[in-house]
Amino acid sequence: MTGTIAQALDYLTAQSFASLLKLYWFVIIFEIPKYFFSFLLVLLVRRPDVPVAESGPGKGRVSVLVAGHSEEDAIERCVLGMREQSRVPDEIIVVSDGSTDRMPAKLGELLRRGLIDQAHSTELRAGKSAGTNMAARWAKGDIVVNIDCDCSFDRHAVRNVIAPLADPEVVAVSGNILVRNEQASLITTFQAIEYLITISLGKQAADRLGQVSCVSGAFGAFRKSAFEAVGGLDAGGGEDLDLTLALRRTGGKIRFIEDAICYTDVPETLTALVKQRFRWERDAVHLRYRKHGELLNPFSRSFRLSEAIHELEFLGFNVLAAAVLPFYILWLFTQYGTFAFIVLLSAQAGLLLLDCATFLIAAYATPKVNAMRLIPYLPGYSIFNSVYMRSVRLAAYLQEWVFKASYRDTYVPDKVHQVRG
Amino acid sequence: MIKATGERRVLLVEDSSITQDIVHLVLTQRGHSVDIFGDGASALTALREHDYDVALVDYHLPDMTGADVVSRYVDSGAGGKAPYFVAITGDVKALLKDTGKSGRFDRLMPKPLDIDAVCDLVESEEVDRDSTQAATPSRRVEPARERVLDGPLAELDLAFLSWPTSQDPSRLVAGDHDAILVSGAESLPTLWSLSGAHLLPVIDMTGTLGNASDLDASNMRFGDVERIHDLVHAFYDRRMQVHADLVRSGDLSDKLLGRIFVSGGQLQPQYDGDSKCLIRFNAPVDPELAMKHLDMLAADRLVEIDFFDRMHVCGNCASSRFNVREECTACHSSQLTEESYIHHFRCAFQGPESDFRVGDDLICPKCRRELAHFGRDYDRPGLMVLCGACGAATSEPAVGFLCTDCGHKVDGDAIQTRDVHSATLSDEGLRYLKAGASHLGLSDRTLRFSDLPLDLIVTLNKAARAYNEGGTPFILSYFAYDNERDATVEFGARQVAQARKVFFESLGQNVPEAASLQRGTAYDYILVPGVTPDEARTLLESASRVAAAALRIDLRSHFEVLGPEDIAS
Repeated sequence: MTGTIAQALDYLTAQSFASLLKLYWFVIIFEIPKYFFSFLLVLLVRRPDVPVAESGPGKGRVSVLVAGHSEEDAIERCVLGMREQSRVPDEIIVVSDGSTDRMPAKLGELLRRGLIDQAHSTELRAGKSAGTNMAARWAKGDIVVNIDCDCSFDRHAVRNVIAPLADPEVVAVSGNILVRNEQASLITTFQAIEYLITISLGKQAADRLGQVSCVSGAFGAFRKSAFEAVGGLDAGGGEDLDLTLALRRTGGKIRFIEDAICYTDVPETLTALVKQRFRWERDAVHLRYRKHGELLNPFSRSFRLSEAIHELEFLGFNVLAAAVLPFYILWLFTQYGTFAFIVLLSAQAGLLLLDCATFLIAAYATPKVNAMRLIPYLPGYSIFNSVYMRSVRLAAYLQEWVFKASYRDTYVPDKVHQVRG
Repeated sequence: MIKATGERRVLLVEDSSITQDIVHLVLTQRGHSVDIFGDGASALTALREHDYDVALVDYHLPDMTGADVVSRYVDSGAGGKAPYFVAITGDVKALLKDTGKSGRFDRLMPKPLDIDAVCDLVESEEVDRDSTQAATPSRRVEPARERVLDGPLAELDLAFLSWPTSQDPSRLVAGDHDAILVSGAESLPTLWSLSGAHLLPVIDMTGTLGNASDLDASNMRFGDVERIHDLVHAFYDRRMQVHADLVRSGDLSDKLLGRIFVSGGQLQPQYDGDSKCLIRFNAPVDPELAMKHLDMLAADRLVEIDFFDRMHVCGNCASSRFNVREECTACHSSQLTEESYIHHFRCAFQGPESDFRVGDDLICPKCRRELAHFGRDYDRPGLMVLCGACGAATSEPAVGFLCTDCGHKVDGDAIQTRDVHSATLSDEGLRYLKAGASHLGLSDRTLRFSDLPLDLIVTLNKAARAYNEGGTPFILSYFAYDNERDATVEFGARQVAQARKVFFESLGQNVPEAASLQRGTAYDYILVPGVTPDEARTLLESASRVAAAALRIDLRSHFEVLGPEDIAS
């Protein structure tokens, strides 16, 4: 075996640049540029100025909106976390969205203790979008900060996330999401690495380009006037991406602030992770190419080149890459037989090097993260991400494309599926 | 031991030598001078010749009644200061029947004579006031008996106290009566300020007292007279069992305890919208005070309490009368209206119905689509409460308490509460009621003459005379048995009584022969002439050790020694 590998390496090193291109075209087209984006942008492009965060009450009132379904246990910790902020929100509005536990009673208690300012409870579940919209309906602030019940926040998270809104052109700011339960299982450790690379580093890169695509539903700040102008959140899954795309269509600037940190629990089992990703990817395809497809249409009034590039980038590096991979592998095996294994292995080895480099930059670019512990897991992550997760993604795209599966998602109530746009 | 009131001249007209001895001993020891006469004629002579501050006159004298003595003295128009006349009698009713004559007395004192009460009276300012004011007999206090009774109550041979009374309440002793007739509800709360009133049945002549009275006689029917008779006698029988300590006590706790016992039932609260506490008890007592004292009694385990209800209490004015209502969490206004939420499925807008309402139609304020079909386009996921005062909305209105007495506002979760209980007498309470303060171990150092056996008083009187005349010292010691009650539970009353008898007899064999031993109920007594208190302590210490060693049951006896000076004080 060692001999075979040595032989293969000899063969590879003997290849000309042109024949290497021919061999590794998939990696060169779909992988390298993606890394370069992150590398170069973060290292070389200066971060756009963020107005200095004020330690006192920032300009404008801040309303925090929390909509949760049966979050009796999580809500108090979440609210206390908000009360601990260096910039204490001016108002906290909590909506119990058709909870079946004792969350409404809990809200009454929090209200009496003065920890929250408004509590609303409905008996029928309406989904996170409708819940958040209802909270926004009563918000008196100039800025609304949308958070998830099960997240926890750094002391300066709110102060930092609202800082960019001092720029009148900015309409929304995404906070940084890190994994809280990274030690729970191998799967969560891989996700911790993934979040660092794709969210913390990836969105920083996008921020440099003015291409932030999604203000996370777990932690984001919005100018209330802009939020209201697009009608708040729309029905259905992926509402955070949906809202961001809608805001982009109006021409507002979207920012990502890496030191506005929020921690969340990610799925601990493979099954749960796959289920979550199926939902995300299906929603992404649905929203980008069905609902907001106009952004790609040069004849539409909403068409703008920067938006089109943004959409094409996603199409190329996510959708197309996932779709082409099986054909590339098939092609390799028909062309080179068992030698294809060596090609894939060497490609994987190369990707690992790139992943390591990216990871280090991500760790460097993310404040307050203990990345050392994650380093031993990088090889595993590299394979898991490029092979397994890409397959999951492909399956999800196919499912959405062919079966419109997002319409049968259990994440939103059935009544909403039937009618949403 | 002369009190600040000064020395009094006391005349005692009494044919019983024991009463003579006691009164003389105690009053002279306290610095008063006492003249004693055994018949009415010599007493009248003395009255005319001397100025007395107080005259204690027995009703039944060999030659005339006490009332005759007083009326002859008054009718003779004797000059000078009239004494304060106190009738001593075992038959209060007979005295009261002696219409016209009994009225000449300032006070009645029932027999057996309570020597402490006599001391208190002799030294009280009441005596001063009377001796200066009472120049004419006609201003003397009329007997408290209700004379104007007519109808069926008059048939009963009972002494009724009419309340409210035109007489000075401080001069009345409710203990001289059989029952209280209440003819004005507003005066009820002050009834118990009358000494002994808590032990008498309250008969309602107004028909408005409800359960605060023991019987409603406002509308007498056939058979009611008999009921009153039975009630009065039931109270009387139980009242006779109450220890003198509790009869006399001015403490509300003691009064409540006595009341529970004589009424033969329990102290039962009842809802009453007129009361600030929203309850009243079945006794003429301020419910708030009663609750406080019941808690104390319960803590002392003298009563057993039973939960009745939990009341909210205003922290400002202690009232329980509240307006309880839902209020706005933001501005505490109760001007709330309910409205339902509408959820538009298609665009995820969710807000109050008024946001959607355009005439008869429901139009989504976000996407301007018409909501046509309930369940398909929209539903109503819940109700919210809108505040008309400040416009705030919530699905969780607060509960607010508004005190209707003082206007104080309290949040539902900050409101204080108070538990109201009914109370019955515990076994412990019953023992206290019958044994008095000695039961609680409170009176270890304050022996009362009224508690002493008669024979002992006679002996004590002799010893006191010897001390006064010849300076011969003596001691009176009394033995208490701390473990008696617990031992009774363990070994039975007969065994314990036997043990106590053996102990005291063996004690008698180890003290000088001149000692006189008397067994009492609460205590056993030894009087030893010719020794000082210190000598006696050493003597009794060793004697009681020897006596206790012979017993199987440990009674945990201990003793107190009183010298002549202690006894006089």
